This record gives sequence, structure tokens and C-alpha cells, in this order.
Amino acid sequence: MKLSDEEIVKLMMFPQTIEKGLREMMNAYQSRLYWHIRRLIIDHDAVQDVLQDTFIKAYQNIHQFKSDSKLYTWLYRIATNEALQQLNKMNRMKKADEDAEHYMRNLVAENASKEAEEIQVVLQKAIGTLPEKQRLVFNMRYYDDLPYEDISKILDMSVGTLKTNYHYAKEKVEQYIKDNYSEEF
Amino acid sequence: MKIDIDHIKKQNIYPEPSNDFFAKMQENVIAKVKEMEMVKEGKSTPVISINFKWVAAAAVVLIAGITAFIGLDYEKQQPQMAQQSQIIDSVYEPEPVAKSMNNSGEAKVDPESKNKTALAEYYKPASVSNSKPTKDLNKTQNNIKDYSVESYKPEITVDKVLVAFTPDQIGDLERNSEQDIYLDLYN
Repeated sequence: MKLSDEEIVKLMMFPQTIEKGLREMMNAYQSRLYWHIRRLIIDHDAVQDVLQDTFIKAYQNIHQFKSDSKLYTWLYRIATNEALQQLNKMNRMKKADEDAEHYMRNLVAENASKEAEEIQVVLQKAIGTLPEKQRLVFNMRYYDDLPYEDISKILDMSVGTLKTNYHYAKEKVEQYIKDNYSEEF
Repeated sequence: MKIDIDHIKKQNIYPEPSNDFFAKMQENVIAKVKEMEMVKEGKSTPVISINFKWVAAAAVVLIAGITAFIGLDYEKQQPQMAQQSQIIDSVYEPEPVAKSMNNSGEAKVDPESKNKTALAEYYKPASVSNSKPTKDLNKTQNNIKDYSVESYKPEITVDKVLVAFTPDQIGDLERNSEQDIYLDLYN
């Protein structure tokens, strides 16, 4: 039986039930957080590490969780911070003469499934060309369908700024597909 | 051609993780969390573990000290060799020749002069071989010498001498091995 966010948080507040609460929390949000992180980092092994670190951080800081906010926005925030840290590490490890866009495009091509549609792969490559903050906003709005109010709490940005970011991000992606999709075929 | 991504079907291009991926991930998280809790508990309770060790060590030292103290105190209460030798001497009190013959059950007609000489050599003063003669020891030797001239019989064996000793006296003899050598009891 799936527990509500309040029940999960309550379980995690007591030492006797904290492990049960942690397992319930992971069962409820591990898949969503996995894909959220995957669309940012792309590499599966790196995503696994970030996902584990996310839940460990959640466990360590559960007592700082405010009951008036939503559990999944709090988890998204932790996962986003951990993913951005990992992205910085990966950027430092990439070749010095390789620009970030080229690096991300290569990463998408290497990790994409062979059964994936070409337009979907080009779309992902387009998203990879966006700056980090725009990429975050675009993924959460386009793929996760999160309301701007929730994205605002996750990224600590105003709704207006978020809408502007998403608008520009969408235009860039569409232009990239237009320029590159016709060339693929 | 204008592209509108809202009209593109949303699909995931990356492979799904394996069936046991999330289960393993959960176990890794739980294991890591438990490890962190153990480290936290270890840091928070060092006093108890250290105290227990020190208490155990202190108890052992205390018991050893009490045992040693009792042992020393007991040793001090033991009679000196000189006193013990008096007991020995009391066994070998000079007896009339007739009595000793009766006790032994044998008519010994060995000339006592020979025995006296042998005994004089046998019971040499402490200065000859004993490197650390004590005053009591010298007194003992003199006493033995005095008595032995008159009461020594060749048939008195080491066993008889040892039978007369109490267990404590035998223990003292063992400790004072030099004296044993001097007395040459095991010749």
C-alpha cells in the first residue's frame, strides 16, 4: 500500500521507523528522480551515484524538511543540486579543447538506445546545448510537467524568470532540430 | 519548416535500467546509512568503552597488588631459619647413648670419635662455601656443631631430617638453596 508524503515523513522522524520510511520514500520517488537526473547527466553510472547520494542526503536532513512544503519538490531540489555538482565534475574531466556543447552531444549519442527515434535523439542533443539552468527548467516543464510554482521552489527562481527561461529554451531547441534534423535525413 | 516540440511525441531515448537496479540502489543506500549511524554511535560513546577497559585493568592490578601484599605479609610472619633450626636442633637434642640406641633399635658400637671428626668436616662453618652467611645461619651452624658432636649417628638419613621439617620450613629451604649447598644435605 502506497503511503502518503506525510506518512513517509512521519516514519522518518523516529529512529525505530526511519529505515522503513526511507525505503517507502525511495519506492515512491526513485524512478522520477532517476530520469530527472539522467536527462541532466546522461551517463547511467554517474546517475546511479547521484541518485544514491540524493537519498542519503534526504535521510541526513529529514529533520530540516518543513512540513508545509511538498516532499517531492524537496527531493527534486536535493537531486538537482547533486546533479549539478556532478555535471561540474564531468565538465572538469572533459578534454580541454572540447567545448561543452560538443561534449554533451557526444554523450547523448553514446548513451542513446539503438531503438530510439532519430528525432528524439536530435531533441536530446538540442537540450544538451542549453545552459544548465535553462536545461533544468526545460526538462522539468517539458518532460515532468511540473507547475511553475513547484519549479520556483526547486530552483529558487521566480515564476516570471522561469517562464522566460522556458520560452527561450524552447526556441533554441526548435531551431536546433530544424537545423540538424533535416541534415540527419 | 517550423518545428513545434509540443507536437513531438515525448519519448525516452535512453535504455531502462535493469530490473534489480533500484533494489540494489536501495540496499546500497541503507548500507551506507547504517554505516554512518555506526560511526556516529562510535564517536558518541568512546568514554564508555575506554572506561570499561580501564576499569578491568585497574581491577586486575588491584587484585594482583592485594595478593602480593598478603603474600609479603605472610612471609614476614614466618619464623626465621634460626628459629626453625632450633626446632631441628630440638629433634637432635643430645641424648644419652643408651637412649639413642634404644630408639634406633640397633646397637651401634661405632666409635664416636670417628663420627665427631666426620661431623666436624661435615658441618663446616658458613664461611667455607656459603657466600652470604647470615648471623642466624652462623648461629645455626654453631648450634648444630655443638649438638652434632655428641648426637650425630651415621644412620640418620636425609629422610629423617626432612620429615622433621614442616612444609613452611621446606619452602624456606628451597628458597635458601645456598644454605642447602652449605649444609650439604643432598650429598
